[in-house]
Amino acid sequence: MVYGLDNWGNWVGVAGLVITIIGAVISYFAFRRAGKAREAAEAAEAASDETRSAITRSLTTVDLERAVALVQRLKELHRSNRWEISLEHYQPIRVMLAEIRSRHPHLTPELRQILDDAILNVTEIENVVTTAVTENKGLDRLRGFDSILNALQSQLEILSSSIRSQEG
Amino acid sequence: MVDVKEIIAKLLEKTNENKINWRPTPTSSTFAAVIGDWSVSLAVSVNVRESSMSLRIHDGTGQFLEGLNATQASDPATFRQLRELHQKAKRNALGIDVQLEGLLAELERV
Repeated sequence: MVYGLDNWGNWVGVAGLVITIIGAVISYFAFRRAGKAREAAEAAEAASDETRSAITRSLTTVDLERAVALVQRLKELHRSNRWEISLEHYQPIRVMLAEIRSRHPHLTPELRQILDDAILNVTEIENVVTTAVTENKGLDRLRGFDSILNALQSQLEILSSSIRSQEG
Repeated sequence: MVDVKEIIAKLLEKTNENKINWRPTPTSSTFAAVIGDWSVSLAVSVNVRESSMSLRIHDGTGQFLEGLNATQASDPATFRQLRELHQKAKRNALGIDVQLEGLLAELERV
């Protein structure tokens, strides 16, 4: 009893040490649990990002396929000299391509250039056809756009397969 | 309100600094560039009476926003500015300087 009273300071020190060790063990497990929870949250976020980009890629390839089909329709209208009807087809193609561009802000410069050129080319063809239809002259010279539209289709197909290949 | 002539001056300045990527278009005398969410196209049209220069500005979807036409008779200062811009845009779009350097190098080797 006397020993205990004489050394009470040591007992307090030992008790403090024990409490500190218990605290450290609890903290260690708490940190580990928090770390696992954070990892799980990060994995869930990554999975969600991946799903979102997969959906975006899928929508884009569908849009590009539709754009290629619209260009095909445009070529057929040009070949049959249905210029006025063809005027209705340029705007949907332009808008579709612009949407793809804004949906993919991180495209490589080469792929972005394909989209930019496609929009510029469709805009220019539309401008020339509109002028020719309005003034009713120079329509026979518009047939030259066929090869440009063929090239445009090929470029859009390249873009589509590049975007699709990112899925693998 | 922004005056299109201000845009022409800025286009000329940035083209001189080689900061605009001009591109050829399906019409051989028209050159265009995408700048941010907009695009501009520059065209020259020549007929027996006179030449005219035109600038067209489109939004990101290619929708026409604003344009300007100038002839030597109607607006000589803007006409000269657009003609200079068109010549520089053409050099840039067709990579004329690179091609001429290549030709010169080839001639050195001949």
